[in-house]
Amino acid sequence: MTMTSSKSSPTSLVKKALIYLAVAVILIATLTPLVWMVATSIKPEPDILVTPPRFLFTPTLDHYWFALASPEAPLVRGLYNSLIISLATIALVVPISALAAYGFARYNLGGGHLQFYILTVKMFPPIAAIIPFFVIFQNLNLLDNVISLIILNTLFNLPFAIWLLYGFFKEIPTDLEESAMIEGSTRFEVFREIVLPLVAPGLAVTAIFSILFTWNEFLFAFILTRSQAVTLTVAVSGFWTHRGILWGPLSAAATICVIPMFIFALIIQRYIVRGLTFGAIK
Amino acid sequence: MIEIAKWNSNRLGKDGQEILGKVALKGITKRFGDKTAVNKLDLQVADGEFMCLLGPSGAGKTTTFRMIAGVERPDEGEIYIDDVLVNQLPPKDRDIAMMFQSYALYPHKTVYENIAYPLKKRGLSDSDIKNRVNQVAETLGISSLLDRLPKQLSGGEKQRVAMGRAIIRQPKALLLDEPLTNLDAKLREQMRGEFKRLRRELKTTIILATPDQLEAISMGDRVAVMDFGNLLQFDSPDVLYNHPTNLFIAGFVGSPAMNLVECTLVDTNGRVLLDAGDFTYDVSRFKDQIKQQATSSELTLGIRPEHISMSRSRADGECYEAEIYVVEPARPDIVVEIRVGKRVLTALAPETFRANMGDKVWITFDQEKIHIFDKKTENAIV
Repeated sequence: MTMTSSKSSPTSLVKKALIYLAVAVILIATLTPLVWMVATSIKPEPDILVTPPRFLFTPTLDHYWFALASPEAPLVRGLYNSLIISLATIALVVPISALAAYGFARYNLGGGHLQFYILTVKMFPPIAAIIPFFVIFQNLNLLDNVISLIILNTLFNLPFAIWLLYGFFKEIPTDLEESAMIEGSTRFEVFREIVLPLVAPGLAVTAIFSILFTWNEFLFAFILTRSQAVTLTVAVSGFWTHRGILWGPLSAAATICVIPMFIFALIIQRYIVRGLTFGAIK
Repeated sequence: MIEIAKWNSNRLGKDGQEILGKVALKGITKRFGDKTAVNKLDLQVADGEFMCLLGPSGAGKTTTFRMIAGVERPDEGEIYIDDVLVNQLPPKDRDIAMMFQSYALYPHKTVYENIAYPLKKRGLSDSDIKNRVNQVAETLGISSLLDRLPKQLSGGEKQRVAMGRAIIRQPKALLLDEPLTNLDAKLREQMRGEFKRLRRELKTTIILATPDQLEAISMGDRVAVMDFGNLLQFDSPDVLYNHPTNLFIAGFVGSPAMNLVECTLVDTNGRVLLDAGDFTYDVSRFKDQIKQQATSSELTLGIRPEHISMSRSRADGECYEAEIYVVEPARPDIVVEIRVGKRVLTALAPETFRANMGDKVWITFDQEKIHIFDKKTENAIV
């Protein structure tokens, strides 16, 4: 009977050990920088840049107080702006991508070419467009304004969002929609009452990814803002000064930047899994 | 209650007689790419008729339904509902209900919400909707399921819910797309009876698509047989069974199926015979019809199993010696396969029939009931 029991067979033990090893390697590679960052943010200044690194130290919150008060890195303003930009971006991305993806899924708009064209926006290196964008927003008087960042983040999040939602819409049997139309609904009512509730997990996933990308966006924000519209990521970079890198406050600021998304990810992780494995609606 | 009365009054004619829907298709053609799904279909369904659309999968039944319901546009032809041309009318304004083969229940809505959906779309008050849903649920025996979600239902229950949603608003015509195909055999038989009962209660025009000939001929007032997008015959089940106009229908309708024997027409000494190789059959009495209609001497003789009689002794007239091959007691009938030479024919015997494999019998064909088809055009000659 032990022959068939997988737990005691030596090959499966080896297999299990290898899986754990792989998981351990991935976890170490992922978590070390994060742990290092958090550790640095609470290390006293003299303990930060010594070799060998010190793992025992008296924790301090000095860097946090310094970071939050520093005029070079307006963290509070950055936090506020990042929040505004992220929320506004998903408020635009989710409805626009839902309508666009539904059009592609049901009407084969542009015979597939248009859809591919939209995806190419994502292939385009943003840095190649940054100077034209700078000039455009300068002419529109939108430099150092959150609106310009909302526009760009929406633009660059849409391709992915449309492709993601396209898959969700394709999963819905057309019978459901036709049935609803025969029973007295217009196409738009069908979209609102039948289709949208069924792709709710997809909408959640789209919103989550958009918010993560927008929150972490650095390049556009760095080039297009100066003081009023700085985002959190740009604010953090403020500790990269001409006097050198202020590692302690930088780490503290980076930790502040990560925490909201960390909490957010903890809350929504089950939706992400559910959304990405979605498909069993029949 | 006022609203329901008002809504119902739309369905009453001048003399207070309830209007049942009339559906007419004229020259309907639908192509998908270079494949013709429905070809010049003419079909007139009368008020309150129970019409069955019979055909194997791919015959164009579902496409026809989708065009009547309005979710598919015909490439050619006109669709009339109650004498009104509806080609340009969106599905919601056609007042047609359709039950999909997949049932198409909304997965995120409860059974109650599913059934109530069409009434909600018509803006009925919540209390009216509730009364009506409860009434329909009771008729269909699903009152206890109203709070469930579709995924918590069995196949038969889903079918009833879909039915409820289709009949709740008393449509002009009810389209049922293979409603029984996804059910098990016993439930299917039970539901056949139930459909007939419902039909009496609903007083609405019903069109039912099915690939099952037994379903069609046992339920329909008239049956339209389709194959490859063409309408082959549109008649009452009796006519369809006794006078198939076409070789396909002859083989498709009836179970066990009609024996179809490929023959060559031969003319010897003034007698006209069908030569099947293993036996010949005298068709002199149909000489003129055959001469007029046959395109060649290649003909197919058709004879239903119940029109072959067997006896132990040689009978009068034209009879053949045969050997019992297989006996299947599909009670109350007994299906017997017999061999004439190398050819196997199916015959039906009464319940009392006893025989062993290899027994010799004499068979005769019922003279009045034979069919002759042109092999090439597949059209019936006799």
